[in-house]
Amino acid sequence: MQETVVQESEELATPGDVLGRAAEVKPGRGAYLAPHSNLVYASLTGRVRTVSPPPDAPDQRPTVEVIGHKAHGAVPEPGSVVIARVTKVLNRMASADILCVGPKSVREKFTGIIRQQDVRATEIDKVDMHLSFRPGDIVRALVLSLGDARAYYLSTAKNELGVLSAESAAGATMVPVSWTEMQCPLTGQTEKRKVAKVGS
Amino acid sequence: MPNAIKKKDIFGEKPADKPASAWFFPFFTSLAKCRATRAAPLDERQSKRSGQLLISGLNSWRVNHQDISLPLVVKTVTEAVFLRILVLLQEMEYVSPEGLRIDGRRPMEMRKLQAEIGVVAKADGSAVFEMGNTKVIAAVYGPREVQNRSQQLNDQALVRCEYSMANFSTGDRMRKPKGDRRSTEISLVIRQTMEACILTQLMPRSQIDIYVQVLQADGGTRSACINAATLALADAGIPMRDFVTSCSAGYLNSTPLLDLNYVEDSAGGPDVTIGILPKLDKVTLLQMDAKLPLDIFENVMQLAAEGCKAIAEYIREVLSENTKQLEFRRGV
Repeated sequence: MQETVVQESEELATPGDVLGRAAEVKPGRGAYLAPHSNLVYASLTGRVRTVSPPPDAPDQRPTVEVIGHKAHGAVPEPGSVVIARVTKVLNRMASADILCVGPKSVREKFTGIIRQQDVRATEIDKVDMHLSFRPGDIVRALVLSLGDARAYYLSTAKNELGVLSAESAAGATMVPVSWTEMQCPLTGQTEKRKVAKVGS
Repeated sequence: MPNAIKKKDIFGEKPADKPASAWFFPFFTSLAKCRATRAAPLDERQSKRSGQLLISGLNSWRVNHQDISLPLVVKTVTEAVFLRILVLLQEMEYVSPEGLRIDGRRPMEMRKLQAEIGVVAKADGSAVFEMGNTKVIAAVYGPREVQNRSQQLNDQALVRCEYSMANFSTGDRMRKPKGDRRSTEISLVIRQTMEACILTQLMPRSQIDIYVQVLQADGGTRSACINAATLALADAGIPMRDFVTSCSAGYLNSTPLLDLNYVEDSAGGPDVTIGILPKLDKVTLLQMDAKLPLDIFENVMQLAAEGCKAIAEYIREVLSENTKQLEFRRGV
């Protein structure tokens, strides 16, 4: 597979600047095509970048983009792995606030829901939510879908997904013992969790 | 009670060539006449019957064999005085024989522009925009989740705008700087103008908030607000078709004037505020609250459009300077 050629110019663009004709270039991010004049205009402020297409693409026009400087906050997408804090545990689901998407922290509040059938991969009908999560747990989860209007649907049905860190009743950070149990270092008491496999 | 006293009755027939000061004389003499011919109560029997009626009877005047009440006279007199003031103002000199305006500008000269980006740390984008002594701060938040779900639009972003004047912004301190008719109207105008340039269809189910506040008001606040909002939107990295820039122009002493200040604005002459997309050459806002012959109007509007383009040039400069600064700080 051949790599696409990225050409970054020294040119600065501001909204409304003409970047090229529609017959010659394709609008990418930060650019738009005005239908009335068949011209491609910039819609952001930043450096102009031209990306040439792969040689086997049917459309051989290069794409022009304007790379802005404003970093927008990370947004969870289906398929991305997120870190979330459990806020509420019910019989059939648990709610969680998403803190990080991949390595980046989010700037706004996003809520997620882990449904009972998404907690683990096996025996999904025998899951007890209260024996899987507690409010305050830090969970690694996969975004299944954009969910309903309120929350993303999250899943912990993989070995590396589940509770990363949890506090015991005594208030200490617990140590994972097995994939279903964590132990308090102060009292030696074990609590049930859906533990994530960390490392290796 | 007869319906109204005619102004002709108070002032006499108004000759066109009389100087403004001479018009007061017939007014005073007719007032004196009013006093002289103050009539006895219309129905003496009625007024004797009750004190209440006597007072109302005292309030009745007889002028030119017509009966009118005191409040009506007061109303007509105040109206007349305002008319006089208007006439006096219209005779005021806004452009000197040397061709200079009150603040020393030429008719087609704009006030000094000054802009700064990134003044509100918490906002996604912000700017301060100054046109002479008019100073406006704008802050943009978003695109973010819609706060009120019933307002959510499934095909485009919701743009909200709030305009307010700081109560120290004008000469006399304002009691309630928010929520009156004027600011609601200007909020709406700014929102519609900005909506025309934002590519709202790229951000469905989200909301963009624009807050503008006037820190110093010296005429042309609505133009300055639109310019500040444009800069703040560009700073927030919200995709736009083009900048919207706005400028006003007026027509006083038979001269088109660019970028009116407060004194020229309150002269009561025509004031054309226009907002354009300078690169696309499109008008997104046009406001005028006076009458103007069409050929003069076209001249004035052309002048305002030229002003908008000059502002756009300045805004582009400020933005690219800001981008270079950001790149330098990041070490690109």
